[in-house]
Amino acid sequence: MTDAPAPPAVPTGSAPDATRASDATRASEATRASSTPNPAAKVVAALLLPLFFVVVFPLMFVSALHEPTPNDLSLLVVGPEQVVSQVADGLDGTAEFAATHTDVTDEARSSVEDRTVEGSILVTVDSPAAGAAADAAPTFTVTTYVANAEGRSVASAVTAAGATVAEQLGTTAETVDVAPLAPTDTLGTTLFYLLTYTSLAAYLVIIVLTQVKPGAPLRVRYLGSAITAVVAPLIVFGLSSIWVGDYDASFGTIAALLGVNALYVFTVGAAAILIQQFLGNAATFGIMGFIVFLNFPSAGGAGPAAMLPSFWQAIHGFYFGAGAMESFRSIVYFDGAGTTRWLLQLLAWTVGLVLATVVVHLTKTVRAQRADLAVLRTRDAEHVASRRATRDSLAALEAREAAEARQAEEARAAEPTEHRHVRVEAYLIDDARHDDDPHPTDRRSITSAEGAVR
Amino acid sequence: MSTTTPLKDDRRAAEPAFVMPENHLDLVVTPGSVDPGRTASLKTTLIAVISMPLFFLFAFTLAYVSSAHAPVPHDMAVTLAGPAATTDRLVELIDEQAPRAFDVTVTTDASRASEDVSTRASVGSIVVDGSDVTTVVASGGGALAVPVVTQLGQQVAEELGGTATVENVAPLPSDDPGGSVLFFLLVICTVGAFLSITAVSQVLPAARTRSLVATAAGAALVVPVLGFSVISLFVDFEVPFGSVAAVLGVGAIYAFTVGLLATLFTKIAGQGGVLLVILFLVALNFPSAGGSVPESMLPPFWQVVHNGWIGSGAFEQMRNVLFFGGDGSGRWLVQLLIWTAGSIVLLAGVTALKKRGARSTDGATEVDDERVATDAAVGAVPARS
Repeated sequence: MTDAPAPPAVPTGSAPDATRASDATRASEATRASSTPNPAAKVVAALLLPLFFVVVFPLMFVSALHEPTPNDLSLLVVGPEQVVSQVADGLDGTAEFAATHTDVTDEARSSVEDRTVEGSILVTVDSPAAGAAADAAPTFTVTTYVANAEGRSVASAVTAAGATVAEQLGTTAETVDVAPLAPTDTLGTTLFYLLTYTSLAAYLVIIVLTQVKPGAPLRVRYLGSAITAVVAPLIVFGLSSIWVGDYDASFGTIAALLGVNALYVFTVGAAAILIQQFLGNAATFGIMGFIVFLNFPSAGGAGPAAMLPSFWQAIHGFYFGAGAMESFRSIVYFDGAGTTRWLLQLLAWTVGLVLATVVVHLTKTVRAQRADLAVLRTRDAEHVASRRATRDSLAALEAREAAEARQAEEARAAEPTEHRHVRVEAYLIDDARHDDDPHPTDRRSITSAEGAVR
Repeated sequence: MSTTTPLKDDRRAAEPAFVMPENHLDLVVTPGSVDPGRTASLKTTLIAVISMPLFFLFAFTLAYVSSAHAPVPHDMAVTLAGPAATTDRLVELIDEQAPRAFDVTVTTDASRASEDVSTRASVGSIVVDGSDVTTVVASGGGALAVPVVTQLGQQVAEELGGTATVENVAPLPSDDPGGSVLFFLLVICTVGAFLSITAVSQVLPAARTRSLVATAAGAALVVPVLGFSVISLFVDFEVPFGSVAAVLGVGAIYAFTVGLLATLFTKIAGQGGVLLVILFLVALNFPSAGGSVPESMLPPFWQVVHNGWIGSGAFEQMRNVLFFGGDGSGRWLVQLLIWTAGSIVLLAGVTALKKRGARSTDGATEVDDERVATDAAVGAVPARS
C-alpha cells in the first residue's frame, strides 16, 4: 500500500496572488539550486583550508625561525673612547650588531635593564700594578651584560660578542645576567604560551559563535570577546602556575600582566570579528593568516626579534602580538621598563580594530538599508501602479455600470407613462366534427375582450 | 673563557632553542559549512561558545606547559668510557651530584662510546683518556640535550684535572641549527591530514568511510611532499635524495595514520570528533614527540607517552633517517606501523558495527511498516499517512 503523494499546497488568496506566490517559490528554488554547489565543489572548497595550512605554515614559521642569527642586535660598548670606539665600529660594521658606544660606565648595566639595548660590553682599564713599568701594555677587564629574558639566543649572541672583544683585548669576559629567567621558565617560553593559548581562546570564541549563531549581532560578538578577555588569561595563567609558579613577582606585577593579556585577547577578538565581517564563512583563512601565521612568528616569543630576519623584524615593529609579548616581558622580567612603547603598539591595534569594525558595520548597515529602501521603493512603485490600475479598472467599471444604468434609465424614460390599451381576441375555430371524438360538443364561438392595463 | 652569573641550575640547558607551540588550527569552518539561516538555542550557543574554548585552553595549557616549561635531564642515557677505576668513581660522583638525571652505562671500550651515540643507544658519551675527556654528542637527536652532555663532560674533565673536547657525530644542518624545522614537518603532516578529514566530514556529514579513507590517502601523498617542498625553500638538510624520499615515506605513513584516526574519531563522535582529534593528535602528540624537548629531558609522564605514541614514532624515525643514517630504524618505525595497523583494525571494526546497527535499524523499520500495513488492511488501526 502506498501513500498518495501530498497534494500541492493550495494557494490562498485571489488567483493573481497565487500565481505570484508560485512564481516567487519557483524563483527562490531556482536561486537556491544555483547557489548550492555540488558535492565535488564543496569537497574541493573544503580542502582549500588544509592546503592553505600546508603551504603557508612552513612559509611563515620556517622562514622566520629556521636559522636564528643576530640581525642588527642593539649593543652598547662602554669604556674609554679611544678603546671602545674601534670596538663599537667593528661590531657595527657587521650585519649582526648595531653597536654604539659611550664612556658613561653606569649605562652598561642600566641600558640593558631598561631595555634600551639588548646587551652591553663594559671595558675598563685596570690600574697598573705597583712597580709596573710605565710603558707596560695596559690590561683590561671586560664585563658583558646580558638579559636572558630578552631571549636566550640573544644573550648567547651578546656573550659571544663580549668574549670576542675580550679576546681582542687579551683577557676573558665575565658575563652578568641582569634579567635572568625564572627557574621554572628556563627556556623563556611560558609567556609565549600565555600569548598563544589566550589568542586561541579569543578567536575560537568568535569562530564557534559564527557556527552556532551566524547572525549574532556585533554587540553579542564583542560581549563574547570581552568575557573571554577576562576569563582566558586567568585560566591559562592559573593552569600554568601549577608548574611555572608566579615568576617570583608581586601581585601588582601579575595583575598588570593579566591586564595587558586581557587587552590583547580583546584585540584578537576584535581582529577576528573584523576579519569575519570581510570574509564571512571564509574567515578561518583570514584568522589563520593574520592571527596565527603573521602574529606568532613575529611576536618575539618563539624567536627573539633581534634574531629574526628583516621582514619579520619589520612585522614585529608594529604588530599587535609583538606589542603584547614585549609588554609581558617588560612587566615580568624588567620591572615594567619599556612597557609604554609596546603597550601603545597594542593599544593602537585595539582602538584601530574596533573603529574599523564599527565603520565596516555601519557601512554594511547603511548599504543594507539602502538596498532595503530600493526594494521598498520598487515595491512601492509597483503597489502604486497596481492601485492605480485597480482604481482605473474600478473607474471604468463604474463608468460602464453608470452608462448601462443611464441607458436603462433612458429606455425607461422613453416608455409612455399613460395606460396602454390592450385588446385580446380569442378565436375557437369551429372545425368539422370527428366521428371518434369521445366528447362531442358544439364549440363554435368567437371571444373578444378589450380593456386597459398599466 | 666566559662565566655566567647567576648560575641557578647546572643542568639547565644553555643553548638557545626555538620552541613553538603548535596549537593553532583547531577548529574548522569551511566555506559553505555554516548555514546563516540557522539559529541555535541559547543553551546550545552557551555550551558551544564556552565548552569548546575551555577544552582547548585546558588541553593545551596542561599539555604544553607541563612538558616544556623547564626541561631538565631525566634518566638521560650516557655512556662513560674509560678505565674501570676512574669510571666507577665518576658514576658515583654523577649520581651524587645529579640524582636521577643520568642513566650511565660504563664501558672500557672507547669505540663503543661513539657507537652508542651514533646508534642512539645513548644521548651522549664521555670518553676518559687519562685526564683528557672527549664528549660525544649528537645535536640531531635534540639540540637541548647537547649542552647538558657537554657540561657533564666539562665537569668530568675538571674533576680529572684535564680539558674536554666535544665531538658531534650527528650534527644538524647549518640552515637549522636549532633542529626545529623537522618538527614543523611533523606538525604539517599532522594538521594537514586531520584537517582534510575534518573539513570533508564537515561539508559532507554523511560521507562514507571509504570516502574519508580515500581523503586520508590523498592527504598522505600530497601533504608531506608539499610541506617538505616549502620547507626546502629555506632549509637544505644536506642529505642524499634517498634520505629525503625515506623521510617523505615516513611522513606519508604518518599522515595516513593520522587521517585514519581522524576518520575513526569522526565516525565515533560525529562533528564532536574534532575534540578527540585535538586531544590525541595535538595535545598528547606534539609535546611527547620529542621535537620541542628531547625525550631525555621530558618529565617522566611524557617520556612514557613518547615511548608509545604515534607522533614520536614518526618524528624519531625521521630523525634517524636524516641525522643518523637510518641507524636504529626498526624501533620507531615499528611503533608508527603499530598505530597504522591499529587504526585500520579499529576503523574497520567501527564501520562494520555501524553498518550492522544501520541494517538492524532498517530491518526493524521494515517490520514495523509491514505490521502497520497489515493492521491497516484488516482495519485494526488506521494506516499511517
